Amino acid sequence: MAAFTADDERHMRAALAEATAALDRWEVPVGCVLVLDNEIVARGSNRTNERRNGTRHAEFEAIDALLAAHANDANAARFEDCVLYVTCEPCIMCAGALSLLGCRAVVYGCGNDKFGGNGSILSDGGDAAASNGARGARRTYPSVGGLFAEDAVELLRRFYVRGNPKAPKPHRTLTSESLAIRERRGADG
Amino acid sequence: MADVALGEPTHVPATPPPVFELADVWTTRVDKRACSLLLKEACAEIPLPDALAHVKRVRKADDGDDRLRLVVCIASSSSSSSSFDDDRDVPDAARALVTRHALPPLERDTVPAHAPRTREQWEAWNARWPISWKKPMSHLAEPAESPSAADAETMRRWTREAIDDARRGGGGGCVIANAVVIVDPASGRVVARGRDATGGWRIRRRDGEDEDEEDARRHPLRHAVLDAIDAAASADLARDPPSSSPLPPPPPPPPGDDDDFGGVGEKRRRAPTASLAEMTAEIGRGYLCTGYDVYCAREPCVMCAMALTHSRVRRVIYAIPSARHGALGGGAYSLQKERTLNHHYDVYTFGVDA
Repeated sequence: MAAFTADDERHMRAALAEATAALDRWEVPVGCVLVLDNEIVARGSNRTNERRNGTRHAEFEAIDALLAAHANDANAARFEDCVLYVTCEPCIMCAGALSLLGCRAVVYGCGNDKFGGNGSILSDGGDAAASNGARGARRTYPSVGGLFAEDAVELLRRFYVRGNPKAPKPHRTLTSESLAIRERRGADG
Repeated sequence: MADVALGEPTHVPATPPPVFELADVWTTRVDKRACSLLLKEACAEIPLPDALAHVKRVRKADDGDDRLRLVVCIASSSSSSSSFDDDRDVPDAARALVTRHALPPLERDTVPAHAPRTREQWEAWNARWPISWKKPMSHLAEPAESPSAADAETMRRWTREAIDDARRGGGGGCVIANAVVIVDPASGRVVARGRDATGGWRIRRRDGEDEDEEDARRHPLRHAVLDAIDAAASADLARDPPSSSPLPPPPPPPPGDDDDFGGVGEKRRRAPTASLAEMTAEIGRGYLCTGYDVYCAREPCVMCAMALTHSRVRRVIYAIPSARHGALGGGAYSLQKERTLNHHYDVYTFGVDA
């Protein structure tokens, strides 16, 4: 287990607050913050149901918020100096996006063993071609998970206990934590 | 982008289909009555590598001998060693087994080196040495045949549109431009279009450089696929605005940690992916891009490929593979092979070299 600092904990609590807000909107509860020079510069939470767009994960919402604050000037947004704190391991799509932006590092809560792009399915380091730093991406970034993982899972569990009301019927109502862990992210849209 | 000719679309499998190759093994002959004990010991002490899990360890002899033939262990390729005793790849456990049971002289043989993917392969390869065939899960099965002539013509038509869009787009700041057309195959309707508009953000602009129309849309992640998915979502919201009824209260905290949810640890069966019609019946409109076909001038990157998974599309068709950035089999990587994903789409390429 990596040693997390008090600042890490503060930032992840902010990400968890974002995830809780998503839960209140009946979205899959995942939240994140982008941190620059140890200050939160953007926040995001999942809006896939609201936007009817399976790509509106928390990471994309935060990235867009930061860009909007810089008149969509990606260079001014300084992604390469930003650390992302996200409650659940970024999926393969988000990992690809973070890589394209050259994000400095990622700290996440729980792992994502079905969709994870930071090691669970694809890795952010080593296996070049298949990594998030991979095909189409500019570079890889270091990532570490496990910070407040239980809190992140608890939120997901609360969501999936009731089932995703916007998901089509074949996504049967999920009823257990183990299923919630497997289904979070990607099943959201 | 230069003008390109579109030939026949070919399906891109999640993994390249296996070819018939042989692996060397050492076999022995064993009396039928002694076989089950020996087989048990061999499986426990000298398991075959996972890559040979399809190989049946015992077979009838095909030369009139009524003893059974048993695979003892893998052998190094025939050129390097001619006898069991000289073969340095033979594990000690195999030698011990041979000695303990005073097995007759070992014979070199070959078995199919790869698991068969199709029934036809299984039938052909099984003749060499008995192997098992595991029928692939339906949602991962490869389409049985190449697209019909009509299907291929439809693919050419829309892929041509995507290419034309890419050529018209001026690149949106990208060195190599992509464009995407999302089509509802049931109606032939264009659902959305997308074009690269990353604005060349890695290249710092000179002050005072004129802004063009594309600049208003520029975004470092606005690849053509994401642009098209955004457009599809916007169109859906415009056509069928969300109801103003208030949301129900948020989900309550779950009960304690005990197992009164049921089902924990039970093997879960995957429900089949619903058809577009089922989805529409269920929620009164389409769900994301379920059932749609996505035509791309260029192969999507890993971010875009996964975005299409999240969007539940039916098929992705691209003209030009990208060895460096592609994530759908045009280069080294195929997202389709990730079996843990909750949705899979079929991928076709025209294999255009450009």
